[in-house]
Amino acid sequence: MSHIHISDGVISAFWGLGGYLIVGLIIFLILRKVEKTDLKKKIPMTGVVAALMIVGMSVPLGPLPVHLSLAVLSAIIAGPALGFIAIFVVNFLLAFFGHGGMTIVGLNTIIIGAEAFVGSMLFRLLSKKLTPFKSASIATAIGVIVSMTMMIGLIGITTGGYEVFLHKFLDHHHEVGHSNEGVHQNEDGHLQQQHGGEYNEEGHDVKDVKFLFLSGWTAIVIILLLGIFTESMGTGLIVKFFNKIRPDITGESNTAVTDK
Amino acid sequence: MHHLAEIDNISITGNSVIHNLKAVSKMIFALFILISIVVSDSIVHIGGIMLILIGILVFSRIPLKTVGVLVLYPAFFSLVFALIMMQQSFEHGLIVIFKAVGAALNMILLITTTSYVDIFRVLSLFLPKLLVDIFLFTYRALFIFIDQIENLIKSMRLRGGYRAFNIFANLKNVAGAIGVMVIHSIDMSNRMYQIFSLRGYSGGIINWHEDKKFKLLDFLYVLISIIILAGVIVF
Repeated sequence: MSHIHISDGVISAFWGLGGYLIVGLIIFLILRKVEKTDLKKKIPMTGVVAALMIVGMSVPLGPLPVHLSLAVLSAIIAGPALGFIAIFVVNFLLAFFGHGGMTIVGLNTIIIGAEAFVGSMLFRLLSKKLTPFKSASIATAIGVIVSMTMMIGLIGITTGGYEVFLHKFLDHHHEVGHSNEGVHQNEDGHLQQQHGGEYNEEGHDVKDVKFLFLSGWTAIVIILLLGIFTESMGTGLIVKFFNKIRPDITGESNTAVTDK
Repeated sequence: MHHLAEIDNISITGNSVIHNLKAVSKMIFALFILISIVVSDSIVHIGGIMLILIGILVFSRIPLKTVGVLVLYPAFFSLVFALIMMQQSFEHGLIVIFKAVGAALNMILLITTTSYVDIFRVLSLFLPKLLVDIFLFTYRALFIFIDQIENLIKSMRLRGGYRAFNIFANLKNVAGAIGVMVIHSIDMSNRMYQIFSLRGYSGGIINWHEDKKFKLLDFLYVLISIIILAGVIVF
């Protein structure tokens, strides 16, 4: 859900390298655990889950300017550890197509990995008391909120401007015209950059952001909610589908509460 | 996702001089060019690198239409960063777009002239073997899924399960379609593991068997990238 479609050269190499180092360490620890345990038999499934994420992104959802990422679902199916690796593989492969820079793969993996981890752990917890649909939806929604928060923070730190977030967000929702309009209106000198990559946000007005007939914070909140809604409903409905046909996939056969 | 299949086809069936170079030399070239683009702050430098990359793409007989479509993504995504940078100067904004497009051209050149399997083979030299296996399984499953999801969406449309403005129905039906695909895929992955186990799989599908000996053209190709990097740093 929270893709950072930041291209190479926008974020400094220091941050990109740091992201890779952290992800490398996490993957090393996960793989060491996999080597020693029965998890090795899930290796093909991890690849399958990664492929599923890429394909899931290409599924059209009608008029909604969003797509599914299925990060939480991947972690629910393959487990948070292997789900993290699947997310790294997806980001790495997408970077070959310019869908996010190659230098940003590490940071992107950390953020979407956090979404998957939080979502899958919450799902485990909630599915003991709620129906699979509700638990998956709530867990995914919270996971997406966590990753969005991380993403905004990261972009704020590395680029020094929340405008980037506005772009990213609108960007993600493929609202080309609207997002550009919002930024174009800021070209009249409201935003000034200092040497060293820091921005002053003097005078920048969030009310410039527009989505359909809405503008300002309302538009931002609406778009945010739309993204969270789609991802959480999508994941919830897929998990509900599993519950009817193959409850063992999400480990729900042990839960007492089921969807009708 | 159509691009993936198209690129795969171009990289495997292509028969240019660049296609026939060793994957290692092409990956080293891509790495040095990426570093050159990232460290450079000159529009002339990055523009020059882009021209070289386009020249190599033409020389490798890669359809520029496909490249153009793929380059649109980073160009679009970099637009706002560029607009922010343009507060400082027009040139700074342009540099951001050039960097994004240049880096994407670089990666596209790599994947259109080198098959994924060859890339994974090189990666297996320094990445954990289980991780490389996951890359391979992903790649394999991807092509199976692309066909499956296209058929499922087509069936949904034909049966009236996909309506342009009925978001809830669409979500529910798409969730069902993905659900079916997941169930098939899990069965497929289990079967895959059993087959690999029977053949003695214990991690590490790819072995490095490629002739490591560089030819003159491989050296030249790497040398070009070193010269570009040196040029960017020195000038």
